[in-house]
Amino acid sequence: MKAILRQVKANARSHKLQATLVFFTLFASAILLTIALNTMGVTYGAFDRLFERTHAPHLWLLLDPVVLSTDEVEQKLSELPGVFETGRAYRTIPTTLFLGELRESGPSMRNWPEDSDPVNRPLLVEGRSPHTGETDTIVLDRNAALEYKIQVGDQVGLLTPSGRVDLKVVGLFVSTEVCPTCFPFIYYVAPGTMRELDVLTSGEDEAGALEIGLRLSDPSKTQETLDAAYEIFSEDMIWGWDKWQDLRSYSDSSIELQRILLLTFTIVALLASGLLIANTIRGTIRAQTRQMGLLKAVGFTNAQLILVYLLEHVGLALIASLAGLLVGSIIAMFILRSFTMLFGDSLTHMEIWILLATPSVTVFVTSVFSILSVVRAVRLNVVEAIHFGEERPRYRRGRLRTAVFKQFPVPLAVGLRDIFAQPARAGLTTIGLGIAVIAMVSGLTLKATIQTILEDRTQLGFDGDLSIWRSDYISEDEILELLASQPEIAYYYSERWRSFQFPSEEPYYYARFREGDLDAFRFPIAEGRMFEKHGEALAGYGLVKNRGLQIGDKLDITIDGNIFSVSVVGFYRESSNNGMMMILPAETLRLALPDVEPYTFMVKLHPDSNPQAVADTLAKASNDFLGTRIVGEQELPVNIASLPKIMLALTLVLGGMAAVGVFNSVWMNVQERRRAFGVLKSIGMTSEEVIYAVLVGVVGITLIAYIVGLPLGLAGIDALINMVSSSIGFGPLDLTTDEIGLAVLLPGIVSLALLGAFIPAYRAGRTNVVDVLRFE
Amino acid sequence: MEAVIKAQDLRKTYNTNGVAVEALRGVELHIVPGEFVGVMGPSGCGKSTLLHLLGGLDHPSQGDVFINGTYLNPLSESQRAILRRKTIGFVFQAYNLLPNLTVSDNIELPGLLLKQASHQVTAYRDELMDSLGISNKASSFPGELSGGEQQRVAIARALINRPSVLLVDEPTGNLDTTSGAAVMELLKSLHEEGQTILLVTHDAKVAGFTERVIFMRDGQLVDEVKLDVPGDGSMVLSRLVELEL
Amino acid sequence: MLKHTLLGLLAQEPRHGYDLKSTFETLLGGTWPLNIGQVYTTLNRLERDGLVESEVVPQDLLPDRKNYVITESGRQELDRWLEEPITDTIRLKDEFFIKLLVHQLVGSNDALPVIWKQRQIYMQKMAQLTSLLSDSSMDPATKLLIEGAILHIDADLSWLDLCEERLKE
Repeated sequence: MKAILRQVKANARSHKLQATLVFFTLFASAILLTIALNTMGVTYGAFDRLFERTHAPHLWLLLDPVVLSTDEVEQKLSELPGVFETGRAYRTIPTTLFLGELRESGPSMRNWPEDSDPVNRPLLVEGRSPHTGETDTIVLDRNAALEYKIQVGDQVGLLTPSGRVDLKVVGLFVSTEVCPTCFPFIYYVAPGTMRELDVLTSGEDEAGALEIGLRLSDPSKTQETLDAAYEIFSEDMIWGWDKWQDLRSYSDSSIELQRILLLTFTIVALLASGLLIANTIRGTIRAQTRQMGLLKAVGFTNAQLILVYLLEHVGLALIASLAGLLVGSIIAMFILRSFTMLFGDSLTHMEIWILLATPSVTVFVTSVFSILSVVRAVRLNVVEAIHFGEERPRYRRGRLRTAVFKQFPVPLAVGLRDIFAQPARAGLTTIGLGIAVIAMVSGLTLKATIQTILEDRTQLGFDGDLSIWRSDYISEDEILELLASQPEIAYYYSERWRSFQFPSEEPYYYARFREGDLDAFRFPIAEGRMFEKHGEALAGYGLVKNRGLQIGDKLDITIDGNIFSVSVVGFYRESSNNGMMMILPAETLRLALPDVEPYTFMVKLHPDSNPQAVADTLAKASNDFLGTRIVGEQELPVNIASLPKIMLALTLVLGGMAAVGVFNSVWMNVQERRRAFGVLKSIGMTSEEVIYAVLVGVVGITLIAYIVGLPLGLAGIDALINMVSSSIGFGPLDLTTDEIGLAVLLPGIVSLALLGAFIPAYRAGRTNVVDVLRFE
Repeated sequence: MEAVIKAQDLRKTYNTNGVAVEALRGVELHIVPGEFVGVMGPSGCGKSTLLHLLGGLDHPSQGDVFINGTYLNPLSESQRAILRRKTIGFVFQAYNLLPNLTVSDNIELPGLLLKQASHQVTAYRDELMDSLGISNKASSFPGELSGGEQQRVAIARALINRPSVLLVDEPTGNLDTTSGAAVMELLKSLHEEGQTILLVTHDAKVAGFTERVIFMRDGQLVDEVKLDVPGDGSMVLSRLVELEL
Repeated sequence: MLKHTLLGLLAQEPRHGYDLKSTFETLLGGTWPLNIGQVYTTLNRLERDGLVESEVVPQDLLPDRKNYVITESGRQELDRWLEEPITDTIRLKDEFFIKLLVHQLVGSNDALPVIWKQRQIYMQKMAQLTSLLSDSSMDPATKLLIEGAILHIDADLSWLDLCEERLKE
């Protein structure tokens, strides 16, 4: 054993360079692994963790505030079997808020729960809660704050019967009720504020509803509890409900995309680093073939030899993995920050298993590759090993190959031969480069495709200049009058959302009901056509996928109890509700609810009109009861917007690893062929020609990587984009290829590879003939 | 006659681990075309260093080297490499063939470097293989050949560009007596055809094949003897050796 | 050594004096002429020791020829000699060695130049011997002999190197 350890120490000292190569490779891989594990740890179970931290209810009920009193509700529900705890029953009121330049109708105002309330403790992540007695402070949902770019200390405007009132944001919270793309969002005020601001009534009615949350002893029995609730309260007293399972799946689906991408990222990067480890370890062990032969001759058994090299590399792996764990954790904190903020996880949420997993996996992988490589080397004939060392010549005949090579100048031929001399190593390096190419191709294509989508206004649904919101305080007729009075307005249509169901099915879906100068606007209808009359409808791709629809299918839908039969005449792209939506003529809605009025108006102005001027005029003329928004730059849903950034990061990491892979590979090649380079120089090859020969090989494998990686990358990103697109209900997308970018990529990737190969190639050129040939 | 090799006050000092080692301490050499010269000395006397300097593989610490009249000192490494291609053929003790090229490819390689017309190179290569008796091994790899055969391949490679001088370092060092003798006979016949050869060795049996032996000790040339061998067959064994019965 | 060589030749077949001389010379490639007187002296000694017998063979028109025949004890002696390895002391009849020795005793000059001159001579001999070997028609026995001589010269040169080295100390 002592002999083994002594040999390990001697090895480490004499092979510092190789040890360093191995170390850095392992270090980088450990970082990636740590990030991957952190990603998985954070993204999975985040909802559940927050759920328990906020003591969230398993079932939310929305009840009639007029007929029922809060005490009654609380008492009756607490008596239901299976109900473990009931929260307080609060009023929740939909309001209209002015956030920055935007006006949103719908955000729900609630009272901040008292400390004694056992259920639903929203988690404050920034600032403070509203104090009792304050009537001008709110705590805002953190996702909403991010989306509308609001920070603690900003003001938001609340629309009250007496006009706009400013409220100050004093804190931000997270809870499991909200998700990044959920709307409407929730905000909390201090108790008493609702009364003070006079929002408890809307016209003659009580505004909003009573909301109460229930925690069950058996979380899975939400349906049973709901049914029991329906028995105590009649159907028209229960206005709505939310099961925690549904909330969870909303939450999951909204982060599904990020999760998939981050995982893809890390898996691909891990693959690349696995290649790198394999290549490097293989090479460094191979470089010690002669030494192994000598050790065998001296008397080491195969098993002992394996142990020597295994210990050396495992030692490196341990140190590298611990260092990588540290650095990786820090990086993970930054990358996943937005993620952890979503769920209020603390940044240092580190699970024990990650601490153990990274070193274990790194050591395991290192051991496997080390053992494989050593076993292979150790099976060599001792005499051959000592005599030839790692330069064991391969006998390759091939008259065709010889004839071909003869046509090239010598340095080129030498370089090209190199590629085939060490096929495994060249192969692994090529794969590493190929992965980088795939990432770059994907990134370029993705960017181009997104660019195309952004440039086409209709893709995200707004082909107009101005969108106008109406509040309850102004009627449809008044608006139409106003619009008519603006000469700049050329065309407009109106829209109203309403939920619908499929007969004898529970889930609710939403539909947009439109009427107006629809012909004047372009809509993102990918297949079929726009509806022309009542009885026709457009279906979002989410719905299309969900129900397997075809153009021309007849569907029965229930709107507020009325059944309509509609024919699906077209499919359109919709990102709301994951595309599980329809567009129908307003006429259809009015048949069910004659008194309903549209909420939003899309307006197209005459060319050369000033949208801002029109917007200001309308706002003033309506006493701010109209909200306007100028349709400007399209913005992608948050999910998709983060894609290019992730791809960029992925590309950088993979590009870096590819370059390191090239460096390692060429370094090892040059090390092994020093003798050959010496001979070549002695018969008259110049240093420049030697460098050239080394680089030719590199260029060769890069070309191969490009040729193989390009179509693979295109196919891959096509699949990915379409998968993402259909998962958010956007339907199938055509790729936009960035031809120029792809063309430039070739010299780009070649430059990257040459960068990696530069130092070893230079070193090869500098080979001192005398030194190399001296050891005869 | 213009010297093929001329060296004046050649000195070379190596710095290994901070210790300065004087490998050559002022060597003068003058070799005319057609000569077969041997430099003989024990190992460590600097003869290999001398050969490396003359071949432009390394540059001297002091002193001048002229090959075919070309002054080597100011040339860059690449320029020396190019000169080497055209005028010098190296034969090493360890043959130094490229193991993954066939015999015929190995021999051709310097010719291709010189960018000569490939059919000319091929023709001459075949001629050389013939005269050196290795034609039957043309498509074998060096690893499949015996030591003597490999050395012959090395010699062929050194000759492919018709060099002005062959620099030979301990040619029989890795060979058994018979193969070694065969290689030396080969060199001798090359010399008889007019090839200039400079050979370094520690083995007197090898030096015996040359026509002028220069003795080297500790980085300096200390003595010289012209080897008088009448080529007319008038040498009689009984005058050399007395058989005592 | 001549004694046993003649015995060997006679073991082959009975021969007379001149026959023995010419056969012997052929055996050595014709490079060393043998003195006939030496042959007869040796034959007489052999006969005296009872290892050979002579018989006179009368010839017509020519003087009587004396044939020599090997005896039984002669054969035994021959066999014994063939089996036996040479156990003589190493023969170093080297004038140069003596010269060096005396030089040390007497000479006020450096002995090194003598060594150098001797080396030159040896080198010449080496070259000459080497050149003889190029004759491809040479018979293998002679070749072997020359190669042996070369090795001896090589040894002598090595010994000179050693002397030079020691002298410098």
